[in-house]
Amino acid sequence: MQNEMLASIYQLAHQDTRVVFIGSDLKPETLEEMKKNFSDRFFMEGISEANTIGMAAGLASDGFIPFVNGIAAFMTRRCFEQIALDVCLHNLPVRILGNGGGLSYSVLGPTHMGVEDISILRTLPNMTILVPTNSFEMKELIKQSTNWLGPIYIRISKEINSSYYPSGVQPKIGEAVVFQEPAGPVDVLIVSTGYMTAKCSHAIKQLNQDCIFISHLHFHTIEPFDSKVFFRMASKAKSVLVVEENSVIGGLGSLVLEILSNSSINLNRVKVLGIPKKFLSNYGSHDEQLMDVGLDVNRIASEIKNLCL
Amino acid sequence: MSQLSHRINSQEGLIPLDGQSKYIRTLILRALRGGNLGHAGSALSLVEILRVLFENVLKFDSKNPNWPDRDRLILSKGHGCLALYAILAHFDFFPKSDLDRFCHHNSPLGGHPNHEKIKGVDFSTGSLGHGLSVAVGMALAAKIQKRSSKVFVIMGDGELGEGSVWEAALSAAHHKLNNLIALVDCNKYQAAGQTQQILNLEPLSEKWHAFGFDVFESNGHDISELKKVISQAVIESKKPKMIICHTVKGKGIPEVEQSRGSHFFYSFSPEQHKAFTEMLEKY
Repeated sequence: MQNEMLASIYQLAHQDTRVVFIGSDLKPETLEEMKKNFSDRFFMEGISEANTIGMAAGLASDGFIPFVNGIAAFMTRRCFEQIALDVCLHNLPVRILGNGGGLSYSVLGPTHMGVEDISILRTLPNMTILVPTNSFEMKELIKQSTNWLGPIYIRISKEINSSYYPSGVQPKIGEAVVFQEPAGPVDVLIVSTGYMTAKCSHAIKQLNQDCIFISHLHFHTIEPFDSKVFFRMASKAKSVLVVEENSVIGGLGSLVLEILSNSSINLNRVKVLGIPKKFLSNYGSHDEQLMDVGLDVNRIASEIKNLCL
Repeated sequence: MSQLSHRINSQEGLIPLDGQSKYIRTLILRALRGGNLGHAGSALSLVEILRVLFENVLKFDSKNPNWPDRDRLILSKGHGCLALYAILAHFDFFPKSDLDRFCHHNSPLGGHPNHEKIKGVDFSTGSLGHGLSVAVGMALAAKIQKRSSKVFVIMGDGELGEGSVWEAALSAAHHKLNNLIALVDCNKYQAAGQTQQILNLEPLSEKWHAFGFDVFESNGHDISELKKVISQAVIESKKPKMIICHTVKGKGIPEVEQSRGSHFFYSFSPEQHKAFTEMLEKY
């Protein structure tokens, strides 16, 4: 997804002279063409994430749209104050692209896992949070980002086959994507984001006839939350299952619970599957890490089944 | 090698204040009285730096504060805002009567400057160590847009303890931002005490030089020296500039100076206002 993201920024830089790229010590071949063709709008900074955010805010305050790219965990944990004060307080159009969102940097350990980026940034006024499920969606959202006011964080995760994505859908910032919505009441509304949307789609297929009254809603935009579609679908469901590759504290699950606490919708259960509050000490593949925290297809399918009973 | 400690309460303390400097300080006292509190010492050390910038250096238009070709100014030591408010009021960015509402509930003027509420404030500040990075971005923007605007950023000496300042310093020098002029209001004190004893910055001039800046030093209360040094600093070279302005925290009010800069007044009575005004007149 990272290469597709960089290509999208280069394409935007062709079309819009406000687009500036700021990297934080990324690989040498990053956007070589942009560096060559738009050298005054390409900055590869050192290992100085906080400075990249302040610098982006300064550029944005004078009319540019800076895309700042670095590792999700560093860009959010380390730069929180710069993001809060330099970017969000001034409501500037800085775009922060966090590589390795979720557990995708599985072999690098807890220092590099972006497991609470969404939670951290959700606390900030003015911040739009995008968690695309695949490259197609990511490219579409980046394309629209130059017309979006205020700051945006985009979580970049692993590249996956997008066969599960509904055909004909044109993702739009701020609008949830309906993956599945049967007519009439459902047992479970599945709410998911990012890579977990793919996992949920596979889990639903796996369930087959065991549990057929299911709806599935995907949020590539977590903030601002598309409450209109959510309420429409939640009001027809007995239970809601939220699945996210983020800490169970402060992410999409928390957001759903916050929204529901202010509504009159009656649900039997709301269940959140996410990453527990602990430092993960194992290595291995992304999927092995997901299995460790119960975010694999089998576990998701079994949770859906439990809620269908 | 210059040592800040050699200059504490030396030349800067001996500089008398002219009528204009006293007048700006009366506006600071007016706001302090209006709000019944405030960072007095940190503002009083800043007055001549801001005076020289606004009177002699900055390109600005108080009737058109967002003029794209203006010079930018970031008060990174946002707690020194009382001095900025006094100067901005003097230059008609807003009515002086706003000073009487300093820190009131619906006042535009709070304990740190807010760009949305105050004309002439290019960037909101308060948390220290942010201004220089933002200034780097603004200086880059001016270069890309081929504007002749310069970017000025004022930091405190205590603020230089923030690591982010040094990240930004590396970046400014790396990008050869000769349109960026950083100034340090080096009043030698931070909240906890003497900066040299809390976190020694020396040799400060050499540090900035080593980070790739053209470095200048000035008595921060001597208008003619400041004018000379700043006008020398803004002359084209390939490097960003650092002007270390040696100042006295609380300058102009002996009681504040002697209380080691009284970092923050939690209350400011009419009696204090009267006494401080008298002290200032006699200074």
